[in-house]
Amino acid sequence: MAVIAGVQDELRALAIRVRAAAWRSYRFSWFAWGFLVATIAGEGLIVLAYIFLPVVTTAPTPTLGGSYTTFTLPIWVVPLTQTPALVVLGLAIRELLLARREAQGSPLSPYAPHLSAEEAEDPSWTFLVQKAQQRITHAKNETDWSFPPILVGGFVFAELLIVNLLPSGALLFFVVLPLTGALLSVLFWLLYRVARRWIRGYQTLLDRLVGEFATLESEFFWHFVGTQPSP
Amino acid sequence: MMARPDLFVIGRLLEALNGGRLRRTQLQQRAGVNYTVFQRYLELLVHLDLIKEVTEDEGRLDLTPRGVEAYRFLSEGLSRIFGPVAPSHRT
Repeated sequence: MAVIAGVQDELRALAIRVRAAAWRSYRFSWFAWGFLVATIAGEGLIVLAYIFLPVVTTAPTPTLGGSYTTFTLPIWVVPLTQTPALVVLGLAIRELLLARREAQGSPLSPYAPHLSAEEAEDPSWTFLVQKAQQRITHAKNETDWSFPPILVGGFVFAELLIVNLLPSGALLFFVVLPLTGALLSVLFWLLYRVARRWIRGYQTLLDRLVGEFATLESEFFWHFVGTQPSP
Repeated sequence: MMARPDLFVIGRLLEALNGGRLRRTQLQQRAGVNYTVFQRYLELLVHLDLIKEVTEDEGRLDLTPRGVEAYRFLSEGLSRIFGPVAPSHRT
């Protein structure tokens, strides 16, 4: 039975999974920044709608006998301008959830990139594992840096909806806005935990492999070569 | 001697010979390494008395008793550490 070839196949399968995870984090990062851009663009479109498509209402003032004018937006403007941001945010969250499912053993996407030719052919375990470690570190940094744009975009998005859809007043500023901020923070903290959990799972596994393999290597060299492997 | 031989390459060479004697080219193909790498590892393993050349069998290569022991040590150790390391469901 080809024990060692089987072990190498397992290692290669792990390297492919890590490669796919790094790809997911890369896509997550793109969608996260895309969400921020879409939110800001949505805000810009709303300003333009105020300039070019205002709904002007003139009403008489009950006490003074004059009149006052209000500018509002057509009802379809806010939902229309904010839909792209919502879609992109949904895609970002989807990437995170798919990355978690794949880390738990679900089949990989057929679009996920495979190993490079060098990795696929190179028999050296160190190359495969070190490359996987580099990729997971990169994925961690990429994911960490994707949360600030999501957080900022989330606050801009919430502010836009609240200010444009709710009547203004003390309740808005002292209750609705802070409450929304708190809810958004909790939501993003949960997403961050999802992202960190699958990344930490890979890191722990790879670190364990490196440690145990180093022990086996030195035992082998001690027994059969009479020396320790040079670092 | 090589600075840091790869245990997987050593393991694959020993594993190929664990199935019986082989010619050099057969062993190189089974191990899946290029000729230069194969030559270096072969020299090392002969030097360590893990592989021997059987002159009465047209120079075919075979494991020494120490080589059999080394193969057992490696296969047990590697499968304990690495297998299975990836999730079981794969495409």
